[in-house]
Amino acid sequence: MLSSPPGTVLCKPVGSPRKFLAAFVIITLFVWLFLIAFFGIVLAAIPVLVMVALFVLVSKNSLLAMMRWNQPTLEISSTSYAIGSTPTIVYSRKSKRVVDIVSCSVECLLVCEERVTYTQGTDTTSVARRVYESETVSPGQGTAEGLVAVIELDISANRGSPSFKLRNNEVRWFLTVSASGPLLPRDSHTFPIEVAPVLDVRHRAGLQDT
Amino acid sequence: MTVGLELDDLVCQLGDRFTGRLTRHADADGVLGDSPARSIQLVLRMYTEGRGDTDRRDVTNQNFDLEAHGGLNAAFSLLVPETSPVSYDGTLMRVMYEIEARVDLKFARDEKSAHQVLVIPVGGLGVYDRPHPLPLYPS
Repeated sequence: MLSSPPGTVLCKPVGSPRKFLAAFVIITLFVWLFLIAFFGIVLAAIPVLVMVALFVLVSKNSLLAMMRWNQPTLEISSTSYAIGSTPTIVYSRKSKRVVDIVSCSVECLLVCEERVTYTQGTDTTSVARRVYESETVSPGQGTAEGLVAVIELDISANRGSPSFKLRNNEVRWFLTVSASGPLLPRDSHTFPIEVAPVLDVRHRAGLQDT
Repeated sequence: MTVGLELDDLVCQLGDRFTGRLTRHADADGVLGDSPARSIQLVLRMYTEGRGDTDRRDVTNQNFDLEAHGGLNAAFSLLVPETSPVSYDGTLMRVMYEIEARVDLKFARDEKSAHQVLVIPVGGLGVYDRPHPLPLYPS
C-alpha cells in the first residue's frame, strides 16, 4: 500500500512495461500459430525469433529495468498546480535487490502539449505540439531501498495554457523523468500532472516586484 | 430594432460574472402590443478555432421575456464557471469566448448581437490583457 504525506499523492507512471510485454507475447503467439499452419513449426519459428530479437533490441533498457527495479513513483500535490508556480516534487524508485548508489542525477522534463483532432472525410487525425518545455537536473540520493530525488518544477506563466480537455482540443501537462548514474536503469517514465487556471500569487498584479 | 449589449468589462476571471445591460427599443411607437419579438436569450459561449475540429459550448445563459411592445432595459449577470478553460491563443488552437444576445422573433429570422470577451485565470486581473499566453515582462 502506497502512503504519502498529507496534501500529496503518490503518482504512478502512465504505460506499464508489463502490459506492453504481455501484449507482445500474445501477438507473437498468434503470429506463430498462424505461420505454423502454412510453413510448419521450424520455418514458422524464424520470423518469430526475428520479432523477439527486434523487441529485445528496442526495449532492452526497459526489460533490464523491469527485472531489477520497481516502477518509480512521484509524490505530487493532491491539488492542481497554479500557472507560474515553482512546486517541489519527490521522485523515488525502489530496487528489487540491494544496490549501493553513490551518486546519481534525475533528469525531469516538464512539457505542456497542445493536442487537436480533426476529421477529413472519413479519416480522423490527431496532431500534438509541445508549446513549453522545461528541463531540470536534480541530484539523487541513494537509500536503503533505492533512490530518491527532490525536483523543483517551473510551470510557466507565459507559455502554454492551464490543462483542459474538450472533445477535439486539449492541453495537457506531463513530466518525463529518468535517472542516470552507475547501476541505474536507463529507462524513462511519463507522469501526467494537472495545471489549474489559477495564477500563482507571485505573478499577480502589484506583486511582481516582491 | 437591434438589440443593445453593454458590458461593464470585457475581461472576467473564472468564477466571476460578466455584468452589463441589455436593451431593446420598443417596436413602432411603443404603445402597440403586437411586437413580433418575444424574448431575448443571452448566452456566454466558448468555442475553439484552429487546426482541430471546432468545440463549441454554451457556458451560461439567461432568458429575458420582452414587454408586449418588444422593449427591454435590464441588467444581466453571467457566471463563468471555474471549470471552464481560459481564453487561449496557442499554436494549434485558440479558445475564444463571446456573449451573444439573440432576439426570438415570431415568423422571422432571429436578431443577433455578439461581443468577444476574455476569460482569464483566477488572480489574473490587471496582469492579463489578452488571451493567454501572458506577455513577457519587459526586462
